Amino acid sequence: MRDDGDDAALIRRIGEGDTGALRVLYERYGAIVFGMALRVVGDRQTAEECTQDVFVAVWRSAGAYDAERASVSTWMISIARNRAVDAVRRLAARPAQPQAEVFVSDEAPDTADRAAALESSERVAAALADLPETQRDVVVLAYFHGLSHSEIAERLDLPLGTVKGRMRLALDRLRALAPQYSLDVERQS
Amino acid sequence: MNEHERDAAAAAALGALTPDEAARLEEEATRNPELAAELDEYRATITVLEASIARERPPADLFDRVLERLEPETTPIAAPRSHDVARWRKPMSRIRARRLVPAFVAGVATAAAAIALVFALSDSDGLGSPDALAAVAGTEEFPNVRGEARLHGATGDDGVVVVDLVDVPTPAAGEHYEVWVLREASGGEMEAVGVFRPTSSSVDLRFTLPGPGDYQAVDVSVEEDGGAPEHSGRSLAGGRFEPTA
Repeated sequence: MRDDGDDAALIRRIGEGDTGALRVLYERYGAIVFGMALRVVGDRQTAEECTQDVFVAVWRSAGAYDAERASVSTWMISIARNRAVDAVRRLAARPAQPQAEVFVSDEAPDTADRAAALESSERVAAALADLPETQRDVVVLAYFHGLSHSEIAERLDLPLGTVKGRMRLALDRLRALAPQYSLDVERQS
Repeated sequence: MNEHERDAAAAAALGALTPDEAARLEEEATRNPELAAELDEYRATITVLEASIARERPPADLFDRVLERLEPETTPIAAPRSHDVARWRKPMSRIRARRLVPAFVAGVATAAAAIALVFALSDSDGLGSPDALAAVAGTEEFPNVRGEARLHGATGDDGVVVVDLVDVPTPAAGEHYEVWVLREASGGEMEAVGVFRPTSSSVDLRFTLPGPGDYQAVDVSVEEDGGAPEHSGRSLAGGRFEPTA
């Protein structure tokens, strides 16, 4: 995931009202923001609206971005996910029975990006595959489908406490597996 | 920190808490450094999942729709600072810039229009994602001009620069506009890529680049028909390129 001081400089320029900088940010992250939104909401029209919301939100709140809390990409993906979840809840339009699989795109913006995305995506998929299935399911349903813990509990017919416990165990395990699969854990200062 | 709090931290990192629950946890974390550290650690762990988010190409007009929503609140793009403009202009006062189009013959205004038709294409469809973008802003003399320049294939032999501008004033009689680019290895010498005389206040132009290179800036100058081949030193607008990837 690209993210460096260059992104932070773009955010500063956006905060100064530079739509050209916003365009550059869109070229960099529009596809992943749209991908995240599409993943959660399940239909392209709503995902398009969410993607617009994300960039409008970035435009309006660029001045509030705190590089010490999160990288620009993480910040934007977080906004995208939140907007998508909000849209699903607002419209009650969640796709029926999302499957707990790992999703690998065949529409990366270009060949180099696609190759890099596939490579890192495959490593994440491998790490997730190394989790017990019960743990993997709650991670996928929460992160990739935007379900809340109570929704997951209902969907999987499990006590709420069990779902939360599995989430914690899954993240503990994922953290331990990250070096083995050459996955970067992005700690902020 | 108890197991309940650790479970909640993990759920929060996954975005699985309700907004109220998440707010309460954040508040608790401000009083509990151990919880705050655990929350940070889980959030860091979650970032590994970003690599598996599918990239999906949005519709081509989606960014335009974003701009439409911003239109009522858009802060005017800042005009180039004076020292930036000077940086582009100074070399041209002492170095003879190359022109890639024939010099104008005095008084042949129609020639300028004809050349504009040759070089100015209607859009950039089919060029794919740009290599670099420049927010183009008017100079102090032309503060309303704004737009964007995009580089495509700039490292190859067939690169083009697309220049979209709005609120472009009609040039005075005997004048036209000329587009220039600055490459890293050019020794400060801007190179002319084409000329145009707008027929409306909005222009959408495409010019062939003079060759492969690391392009730094674009400039649109005001030139006299049949004037000297060097940059006139009077600019309509300009901007600096930023890579898109």
